[in-house]
Amino acid sequence: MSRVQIRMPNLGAEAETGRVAAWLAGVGQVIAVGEVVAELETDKATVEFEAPVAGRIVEIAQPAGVDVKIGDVLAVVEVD
Amino acid sequence: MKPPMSGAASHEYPDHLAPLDYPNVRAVDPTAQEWQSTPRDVLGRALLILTVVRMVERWLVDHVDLVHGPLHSSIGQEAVGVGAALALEPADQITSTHRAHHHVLGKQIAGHLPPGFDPFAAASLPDAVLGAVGRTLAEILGLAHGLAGGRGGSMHLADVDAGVLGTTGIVGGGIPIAAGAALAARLRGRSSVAVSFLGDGATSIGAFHEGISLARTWRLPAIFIVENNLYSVATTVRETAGFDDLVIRAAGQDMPGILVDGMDPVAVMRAVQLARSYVVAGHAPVLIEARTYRFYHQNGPLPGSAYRYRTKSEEQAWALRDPFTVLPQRLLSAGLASPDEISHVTGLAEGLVARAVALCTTAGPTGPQVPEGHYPSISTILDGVLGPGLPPVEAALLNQEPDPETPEVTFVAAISGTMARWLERDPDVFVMGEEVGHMGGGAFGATRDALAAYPERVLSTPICENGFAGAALGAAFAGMHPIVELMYPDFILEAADQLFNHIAKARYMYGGGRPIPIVLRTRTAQGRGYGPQHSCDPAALFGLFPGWRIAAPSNPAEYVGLFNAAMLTRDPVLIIEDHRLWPLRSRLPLAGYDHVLPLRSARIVRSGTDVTVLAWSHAVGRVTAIADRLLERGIAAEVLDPRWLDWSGFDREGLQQSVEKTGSLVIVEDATFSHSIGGQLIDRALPDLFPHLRTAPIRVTGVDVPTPVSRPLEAHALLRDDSIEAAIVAGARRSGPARRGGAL
Repeated sequence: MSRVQIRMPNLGAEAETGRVAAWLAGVGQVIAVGEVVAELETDKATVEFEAPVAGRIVEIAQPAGVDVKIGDVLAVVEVD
Repeated sequence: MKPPMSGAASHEYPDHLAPLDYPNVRAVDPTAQEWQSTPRDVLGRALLILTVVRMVERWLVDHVDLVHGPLHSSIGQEAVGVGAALALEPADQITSTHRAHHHVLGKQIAGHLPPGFDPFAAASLPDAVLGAVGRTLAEILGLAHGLAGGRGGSMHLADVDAGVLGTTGIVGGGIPIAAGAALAARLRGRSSVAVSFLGDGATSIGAFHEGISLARTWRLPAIFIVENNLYSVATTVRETAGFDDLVIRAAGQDMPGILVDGMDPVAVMRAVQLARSYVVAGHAPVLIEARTYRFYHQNGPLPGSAYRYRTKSEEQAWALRDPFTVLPQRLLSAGLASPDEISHVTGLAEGLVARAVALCTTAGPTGPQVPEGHYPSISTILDGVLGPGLPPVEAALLNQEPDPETPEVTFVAAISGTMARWLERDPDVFVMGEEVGHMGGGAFGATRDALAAYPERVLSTPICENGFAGAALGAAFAGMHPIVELMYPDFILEAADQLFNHIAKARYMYGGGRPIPIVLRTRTAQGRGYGPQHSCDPAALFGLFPGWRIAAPSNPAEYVGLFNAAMLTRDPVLIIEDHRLWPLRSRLPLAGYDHVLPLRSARIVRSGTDVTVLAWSHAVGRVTAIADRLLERGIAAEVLDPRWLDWSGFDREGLQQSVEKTGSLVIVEDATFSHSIGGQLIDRALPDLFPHLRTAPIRVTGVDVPTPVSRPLEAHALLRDDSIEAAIVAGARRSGPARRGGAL
């Protein structure tokens, strides 16, 4: 078992921060690659965020509605 | 004009290519049989180029953090660039837009593959392909070994050897430029064509209509390809045009229009082949609308639906038509290529892109990174705004002594004679502007000699200043040396996009090494009652844009020398011609119409010790007469004509030497105060002059109003002798010790 940090992606050239508009998955939930786990937004755009890895969410590092810098950890997933 | 391609295809159109009920406009949609009869090596090249473009852009989207600035990917639209590239010859030239990676890479790769190259069978790709892809990727990343040394980036790509004249970040900007490249092909008797790629949004901008009007009226070998991806940023075609089929804009120009499926490289290739054969024959240009879709938003890594102007279901429907998946599927299902062959071509593309990436990045802890050493050195930042100046000139041509053996010539005869001399000397020189080929010498007689001897290179244009200014740039890109006349300087604002966003910046933003030889003549008209829209002095406006030289000749001999220097620099040069000088006569120097006045060579018209008076163009004569009168009052003014007004050509040392002597400076110019370049010159020169000045510099200009028409109002608003005299007296009075206790 190892833990993988999921980070805030770059949502476009103009924005240096983004937000989680809503978490669609929570701690303890098992997720698959490509599963939509959150909605992310900037001042301009809203995008569905698909899980880049499969595993079980063990930590949500950023609550919804808080500005997060690109590259900061959003969640931690335990993978096989 | 008759449509060249009469008759519609007999099969049914898919919904997105519904038959068009307009004259001169048709759809090109190859039948399955036609599609499959495409030579297999051509299909292989389509697959190869398409795959390379997609992989390069996929990599860029995945590493968007390495791209400084917006990334306008063509993902989804590649078939347009690929199909066009396969239909064009290596000598054909293209201009394009902010979304140009597919056009540039397509033209480069197609041109670097030898004729008949079959990617299905080839073991490797030519080195030139890697070189071109590597330099393009490097430019997108802003690296020193990029096409433009990192100055231009993604939106400003040029690779002249591959026929990529330049891509532009200004919507529509490339359209008149392509018309100019096509004009150059026509004037030089070449059989190449020029293609301008443009977006759907560009069909509403003036440059679209001006550039196409030029190409249509002269029947130039140009193809305009509207890449209609349905949205200008988030605004639909319905909102920008009011109708869906942009191709019908061709009907208004009485030129053929072709609608084609922009998701199918073979269809696009056939449409461009058809258009190419038509335009090369000299019938008329052709407008192609390629209907396509960008899978991402305007720029960046998100789909358009993230910004809510289009739906996910629409995106999913278009994704089913993705050429990146459809093309290989179609090759397989038609039995034109085996799975192994498809894999082979994909492998060639993968290997190429991996090597191109390796030319630009190294492996870092979290992925690829750009080594600092790949970025351009700060020490190069000033290089290449302009060319290096004059080439070596024989001493005899620099001799300014008047030739006593020849008669005096008028100012207008000097303009006319000098231009004709250049047309005689260099077949790549031509003259272009409104009316220049009519009335025996244009609106003001300046093209008389040129027209008499070389009428085929004196081109009267439609009234489209931005169009023919851009065409001048296109012709210059293609190797010619246009002389452009703008009838009145105020019309410069009509051409502002091409003059300032394109011509001024082109040399620098495309890497600094490519000359932009253009001479722009304009005739000022102060004092003739032409009023607020025909009386401006353009010097200060051009002074705002590095990349232009500015010459302001004051008599016929000076005109010849400055014009020749302007041509010899092979830079963009504005020459300001004051209409009041037209009848002025002077003798030419011994070298006659070949004599040259160097840059940074101010002329001391009158030597004096009390005050330096800087004046140029028509003001030189007025100031000199006033200075002569003031001698009787014991004031010895030094009249200095800088000849060149741009800071690169301005004789700062000459000015400093004069001010060291006089301790006082007056600048006299025929402009309203707001349009005065004197402020720019003082601002730049003051650090050197300040230790020598005993008083603040004085600027004499017109009154700060739009020039009124009424005779007395105009006379008061323009530069006046009494203002000049008062300023010289004031400057002298407040100047150095020589004046203390003097006659004043």
